[in-house]
Amino acid sequence: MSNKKLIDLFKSKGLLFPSNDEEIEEFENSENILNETPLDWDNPSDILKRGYLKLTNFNLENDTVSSDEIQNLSRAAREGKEISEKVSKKMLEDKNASKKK
Amino acid sequence: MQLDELEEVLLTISYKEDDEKSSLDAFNTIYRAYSKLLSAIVKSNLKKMGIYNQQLYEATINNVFIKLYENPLSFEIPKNAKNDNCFKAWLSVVASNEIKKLIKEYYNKEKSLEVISDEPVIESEEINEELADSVNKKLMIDALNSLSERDKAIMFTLYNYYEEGRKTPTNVLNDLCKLHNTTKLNIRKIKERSEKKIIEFFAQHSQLKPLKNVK
Repeated sequence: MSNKKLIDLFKSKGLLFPSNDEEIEEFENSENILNETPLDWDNPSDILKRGYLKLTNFNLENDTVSSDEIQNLSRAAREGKEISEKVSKKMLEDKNASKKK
Repeated sequence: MQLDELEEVLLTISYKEDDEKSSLDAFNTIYRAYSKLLSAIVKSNLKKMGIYNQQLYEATINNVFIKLYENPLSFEIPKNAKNDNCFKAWLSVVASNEIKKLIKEYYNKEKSLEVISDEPVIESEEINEELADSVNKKLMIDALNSLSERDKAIMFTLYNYYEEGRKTPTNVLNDLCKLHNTTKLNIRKIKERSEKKIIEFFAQHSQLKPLKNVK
């Protein structure tokens, strides 16, 4: 009996970027794509006005601080508890952003 | 979209210098037909690779559609195509390459993607076909979930940028090292350890008898 590459197994189940008809079908069967709301849905031609985009910020999602987290930590700060540098930075950014409005 | 409609839309876009309005209308049509799927593919894979970032996600979709507008005939409908899945797969591959390019540019790398290096090829482990056939998607997801988040992300990235018989691009390895604060040697070890763990997981949880199928 022959062998299969593990990677081909992953591809065939739609778990990687689909690259052929069957993998697309597998992906579509497993994901609810109708829930997606692409950024330029209302005005696709905005893409052409905007031009090519570059990546200027590569902070990963799990490294970001949520607004709820900020609120809780703001409270902690008022009560004299220590807050992390990451949260301090985000609070300062939010403060500066609100001044600009 | 039907294949003849897709062909018509791509042709109309290509005549943008003669009829800009029709070309823009055709662009809107193609965006509305495929942007939801492409968004889902990009978002899902960025998350699996542990590199989801809103800006990266938006730039990828944006740039793929600009490329399509600029050169709509770079996609050619295969003669044996039955539906537009071939076009969807093409968009997915373009998006995958765009992600690699955006990350490389972010880290200010040199222009050539396929940098010649002396890195050994990172090959994928093989498993017995009988065992492979007995594995369903749920079991694969369970096996992946038995890995740590970091190891899972490394596996997905290596697999997404794997090309049979070709070296894993140096910049992909370098970016993985930066993202996960580790070394190339460790990336290889993580990949080997993870594949072994996945295969063992399959052998233990599939309907087949365990161990004899483990490589």
